[in-house]
Amino acid sequence: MSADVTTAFTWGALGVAGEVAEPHRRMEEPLLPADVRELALTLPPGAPPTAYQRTHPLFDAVRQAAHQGARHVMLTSVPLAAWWGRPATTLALSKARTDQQVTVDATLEATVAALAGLGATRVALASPWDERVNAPLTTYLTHAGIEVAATAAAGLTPAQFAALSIDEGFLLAMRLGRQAAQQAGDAAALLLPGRAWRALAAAPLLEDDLGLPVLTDRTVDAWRLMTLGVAPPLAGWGRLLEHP
Amino acid sequence: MVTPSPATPAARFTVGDVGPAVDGGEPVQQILPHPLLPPDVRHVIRGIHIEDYTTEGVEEAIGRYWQCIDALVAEGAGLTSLGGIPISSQLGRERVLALLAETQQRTGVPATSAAEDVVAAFHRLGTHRVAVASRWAPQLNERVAAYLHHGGLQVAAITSEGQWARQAFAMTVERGLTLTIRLGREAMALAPDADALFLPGGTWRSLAAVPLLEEEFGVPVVINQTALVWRVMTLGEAPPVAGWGRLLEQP
Repeated sequence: MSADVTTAFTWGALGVAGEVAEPHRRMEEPLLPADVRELALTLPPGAPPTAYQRTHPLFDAVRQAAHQGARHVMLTSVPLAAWWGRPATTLALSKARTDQQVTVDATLEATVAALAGLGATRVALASPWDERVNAPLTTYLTHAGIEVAATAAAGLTPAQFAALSIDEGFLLAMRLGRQAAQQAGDAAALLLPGRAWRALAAAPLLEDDLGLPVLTDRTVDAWRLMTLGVAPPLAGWGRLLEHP
Repeated sequence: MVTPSPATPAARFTVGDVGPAVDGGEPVQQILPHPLLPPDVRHVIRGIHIEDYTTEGVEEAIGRYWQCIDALVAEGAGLTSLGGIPISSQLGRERVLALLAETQQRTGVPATSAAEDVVAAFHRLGTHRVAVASRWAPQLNERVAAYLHHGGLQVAAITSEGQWARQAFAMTVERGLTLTIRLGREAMALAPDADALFLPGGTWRSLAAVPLLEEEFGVPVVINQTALVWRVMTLGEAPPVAGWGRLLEQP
């Protein structure tokens, strides 16, 4: 955001350290107005099942974000929410909201809400990760009443995913997206979770090719802020943002 | 600017690139780049600080060519390259060939340009009728087409997004990635009988489009980056690379 733009709204993006290489934020397509400020916060890195069995780091992070002016906080790590599982994630989000009087959500939970808004209960999943993430992610979605009709996965660990070049990541998103949709047959939406592969660029292309709404983490985060009245609809990056 | 990072092994070979942009800036293609060259091949870029791709802008910037070349040779370049298809196109092919010959004579190291690498790559592939997925303004496209024609290539179709340097340098990564596929498809739709596809320009992350569009249309796809890497391969300084287009698989 340019220094001479007054901030109208601050939201906290709560990720996991090391999950996304810093260069992935450079020359990034803005989906939100210039007066909406993103406050980047990170939880320490770790791996399941030990490091993330407890959800309490969320509360400290939300408190920190609120003290820095955030009025909305998103837990942006899909693997982390998947590892926590839906019951623990939704409970933690609910407690954090009560604690700090800010709206608190998770990208994965917002994905569930966005799919509900689209009337999509059967999805194709294009995942960069291996089964350590894909299995709990599928369980999370199933718990929310969403059937994962097919999964096309690259089988990467989160660290391997974070190390992809932009070129590799985009190529992978395009290929896995097509593969997942073809395997699923009649899926009502395609999910491209993960932040280290510039999936946003693949979304409009795959929507054109497949005729399905394509949801990426960044579009879901922006959609959630649109539903809060913070940002206007946006054309060109998928139908979710065009008609939030 | 030097890529890859200083942690890489000592350079066995250095490619010296005279790029359009400013030294110390971060061209979009340098954000998390995909390594196509071995770690001991350095790619050093010196910018000629171009204001725009107009005739006047190119004439003004090319005045800094020799100081860039001198700096690159001092840094150990074993090959120098004049980057920027619009720069070569505005200069015209005869002038570029003369400039490269003079460069080689003066420095004693091979000299090439992005445009010459592309022309040579298409000839190596045995292709002559090229669809050009361009994002530049029509006036610039005319110069690009004239250059390719002089190089023995027929431009079957050329697209436009009306871009000049300012728009090209300001593109986000996502807009560039999306545009590579859309314009690649548009160019092939305009010239379905083209036997190759060219995506000129370095500021739109076109590498991933190479395998995607080759799979879709069954013709070789060439971009600035692969043409330069191919040139290094022809010098025996880098091995073939799989997965990023047929030019690099069988150089």
